[in-house]
Amino acid sequence: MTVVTEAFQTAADARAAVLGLPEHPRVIVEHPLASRTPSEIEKVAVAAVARIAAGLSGLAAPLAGGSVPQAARMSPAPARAQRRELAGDFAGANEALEALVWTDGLPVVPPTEALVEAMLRGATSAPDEVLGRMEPLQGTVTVEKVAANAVMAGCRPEYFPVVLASVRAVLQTDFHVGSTACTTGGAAPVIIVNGPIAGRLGISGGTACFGGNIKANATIGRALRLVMRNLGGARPDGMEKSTQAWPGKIACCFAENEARSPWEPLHVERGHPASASTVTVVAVRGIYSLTEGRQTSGEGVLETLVASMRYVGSPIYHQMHINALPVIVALCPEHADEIARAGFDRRAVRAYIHEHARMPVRVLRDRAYYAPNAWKGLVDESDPNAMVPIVTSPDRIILVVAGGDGRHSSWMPAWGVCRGATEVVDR
Amino acid sequence: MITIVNPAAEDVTERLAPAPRIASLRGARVALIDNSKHNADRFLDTLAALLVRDHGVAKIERYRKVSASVPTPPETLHRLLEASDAAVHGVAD
Repeated sequence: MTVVTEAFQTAADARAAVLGLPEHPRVIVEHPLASRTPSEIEKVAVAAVARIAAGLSGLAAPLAGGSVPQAARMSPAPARAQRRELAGDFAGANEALEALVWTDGLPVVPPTEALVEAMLRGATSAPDEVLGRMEPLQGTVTVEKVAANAVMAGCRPEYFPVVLASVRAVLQTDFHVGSTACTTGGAAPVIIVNGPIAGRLGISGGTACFGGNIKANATIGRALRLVMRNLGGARPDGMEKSTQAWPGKIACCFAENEARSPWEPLHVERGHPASASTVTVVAVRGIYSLTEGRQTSGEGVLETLVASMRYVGSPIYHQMHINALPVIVALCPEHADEIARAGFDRRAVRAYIHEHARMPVRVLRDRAYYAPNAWKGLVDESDPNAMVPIVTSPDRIILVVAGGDGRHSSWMPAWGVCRGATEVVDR
Repeated sequence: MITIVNPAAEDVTERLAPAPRIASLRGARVALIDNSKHNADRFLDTLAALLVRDHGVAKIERYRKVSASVPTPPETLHRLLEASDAAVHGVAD
């Protein structure tokens, strides 16, 4: 049986239903337990124990509806998506789609058969190909379903291979896409595009590249989020539990600014040919920006960068070792140039960040998500001055050059247990 | 009137019966899965003590998840299944 705090009741109900266990016994207790005193916790437990014992040791009545199987017999989703008639014009169809809770609140392009057919022609995959199941509500992800959501997001058909690669990335096990929907931690996916496809499609890595207002960036990012919403149940009236979240829950996609990078691009550093195109997707807690307008020595820029990453409120310091979390560091072209002129290649930049983006145990203890033995095998916690790195090793730093003119860079800590994932974009 | 392609999940899960309950907790072995959120251990400490003292539970088996955001590994679930007659786990903060 399951003990659930009140605030998560809706999510627990939806999850029990999708597992085929709507009658699974659940005991609801007050929310939250995390901030209560030991004596308050004891009171909550004492008040709940009789209900928990009852849930373990006997159902009050047999289930209604005759014999109910005990082993899962999932009826497979149809190979092709259902067709549905909607009344009205563009505005009417939008109202109907909103009423069906299939939009993110912004207007969508109604996914008519003709538009979905056109989207499907943007890639070579068959419409009924199954990419996986989208956690937490486990909807079957077919290429056709992804196409319908890409149409709604406003994608052009030529964007479709990038959308498909992004969806494949979040379906990788170590991405933990289901938990990104259910967490209070505000995890939203950031899509980084590398390779020649970015230029061909107009996916921007230049001026204002994180901020939308650029068709390819906005619609590709939005397509991934609509897939997570409509097939995985990631919506605030469903499984979504972010305390605040950030606008990446609508869309966040950008390219590396390879033309203005002094180094080889991210995908080449990771062993892909320069002619390949890739997406790297990471669920992050937000975009943490830093400005360095006075230092121009390269070392000076790096010093400001790592100082901004010594951030007591980021639980990445407490969680990075659980699933080898990455941190994205996005340097603007001017900062990157100065750092390169000071003699740093990509490997040296990552090594510098790993060496200096550290905080002492005494500062991190009893903050954020600290738990005793938090860094077992990594840092000697008995030494209050032992330094805890932001990630376990330099190769967990995803270094990209992004943005236009100006002296503003940023870093993005991966959320909770998301290792991030890379996929090659099929041509 | 326009015809659209349904963009949402169409999977239908068949309703299943929950695992059979045990007749009584007296002498039973109970597994407690700690989701690792702050204070979950305290809650379960009290629950364990009361299940033993007031309900005659014979043995408590504890497991603490590495993170609330990752599932309990299947091999751990199988081990708990072998080692216990009933199990309690927690959701949320």
